[in-house]
Amino acid sequence: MSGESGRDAGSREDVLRARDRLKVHRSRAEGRWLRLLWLLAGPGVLVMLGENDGPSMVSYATTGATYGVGFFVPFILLTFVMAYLVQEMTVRLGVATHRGHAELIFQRFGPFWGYFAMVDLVFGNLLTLVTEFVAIQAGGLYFGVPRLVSVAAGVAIVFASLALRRYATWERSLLALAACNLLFIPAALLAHPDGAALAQALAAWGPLPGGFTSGFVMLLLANIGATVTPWMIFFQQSAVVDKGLTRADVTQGRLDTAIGAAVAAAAAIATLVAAAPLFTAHANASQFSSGADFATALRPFLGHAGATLFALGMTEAGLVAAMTISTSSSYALAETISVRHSMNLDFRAGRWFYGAAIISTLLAAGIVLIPHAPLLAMTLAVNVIATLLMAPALLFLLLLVNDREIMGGLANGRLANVAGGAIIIGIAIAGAVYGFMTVFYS
Amino acid sequence: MSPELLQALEPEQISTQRYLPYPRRHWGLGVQVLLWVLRLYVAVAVPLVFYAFWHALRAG
Repeated sequence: MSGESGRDAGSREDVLRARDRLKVHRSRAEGRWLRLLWLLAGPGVLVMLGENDGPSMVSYATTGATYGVGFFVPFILLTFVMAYLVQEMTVRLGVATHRGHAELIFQRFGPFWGYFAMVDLVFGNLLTLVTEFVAIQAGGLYFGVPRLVSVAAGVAIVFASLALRRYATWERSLLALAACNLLFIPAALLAHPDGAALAQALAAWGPLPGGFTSGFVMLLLANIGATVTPWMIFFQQSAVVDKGLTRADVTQGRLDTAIGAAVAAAAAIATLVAAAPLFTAHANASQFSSGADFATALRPFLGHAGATLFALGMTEAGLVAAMTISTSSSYALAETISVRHSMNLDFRAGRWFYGAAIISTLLAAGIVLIPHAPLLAMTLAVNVIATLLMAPALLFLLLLVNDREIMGGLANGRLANVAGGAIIIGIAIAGAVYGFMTVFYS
Repeated sequence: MSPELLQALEPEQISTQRYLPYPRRHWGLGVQVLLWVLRLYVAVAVPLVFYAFWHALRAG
């Protein structure tokens, strides 16, 4: 398959990427730094807002309804700092090697780890996609849209984005949709949050009602799991390569990731703040299983407009994640089996690439529509897969980013290794503990 | 593709170069030990995933 025709300098993929790069070169030559950032930003913002998906936003809302405004506000900020430090490594890997994460694992560690990483990711992504369509259908039900219609609309939007067959257009369309993640901010403002309580939470990392309990530990680990997951590593590196970023663009790549982390953290904290009135009202958060349940319960506190914004935000979270996660599967599968992989390909040249996204989307949507499908069991399995298998993903990331043969001067320095290594060990241990606790504690 | 357009890409960004695989890396003893530890971890983690799914299915 590696000998496919059309891999010449005049291929559609090269022409479209070259056009994008020409704009970058001109902006850099003219010293138009803001335009340069605009042209080069995308993968970082998308990956961070993509991870603010349906289940993650439910997790933040549960945190707000269970603990109110307190310890978790600065903690969420900290998790996004960790996410930035992990994702920044994928930017450097992408610009230094022009290879995706899955193909680097396959090429540098051999077929065993290559296929393991791909199968693990594609299977985990498929189950995650199921949870995203659950979020989409739950959001639809809030507005009185039948399940079949909202799921079909979700599938149609994912397919429409793939039909663009142009990385730049696909990325900008997703960015426009992902901006709706900010709907949680006006929803939070409608909850009339206490500014002093927010400031105190940020300064003192408190209060923590109920103290240090097993339930608190679970929510703590779930929040970590909501911020850094394996698909993010694979997606951002592949997107950086597909976009055509080079070593000269590392600064903008880092800024893109930092902006994404800041915006996603703001949306996550806004979700917590918007749900905090449920804590004050002593509501039992465990009875809410979807974003729509939260929106309905919050209507007396946020008003009709606030609850509508909350439900729209939850639906958008599922939709954007469905688009980014299905693409992450496409990149990983095509990279591992060594076929062409780019959002700039036409359908014929990219049949394996687009096929993976199309099939996984159809499978996930179909599963959601099966009456009495074990969706709760799948959601649990998603959490366990993502957290238990985070350790291998992070270990490969650290080893690759230290591989000086391919990284050259962009390899991790001593300080980056200490900071990155500590974060990776922390996240890996937290993930493993969460995985084991989910299995045996539940 | 016009020469101006072609020059906008770095040589290793062009498809013919980008799809060429890197050689497999020969890792040192420390990394090889780490990878064996990872194999053991995976051997424990994968059955746990299936157990979690089966357990959740039974719980309904």
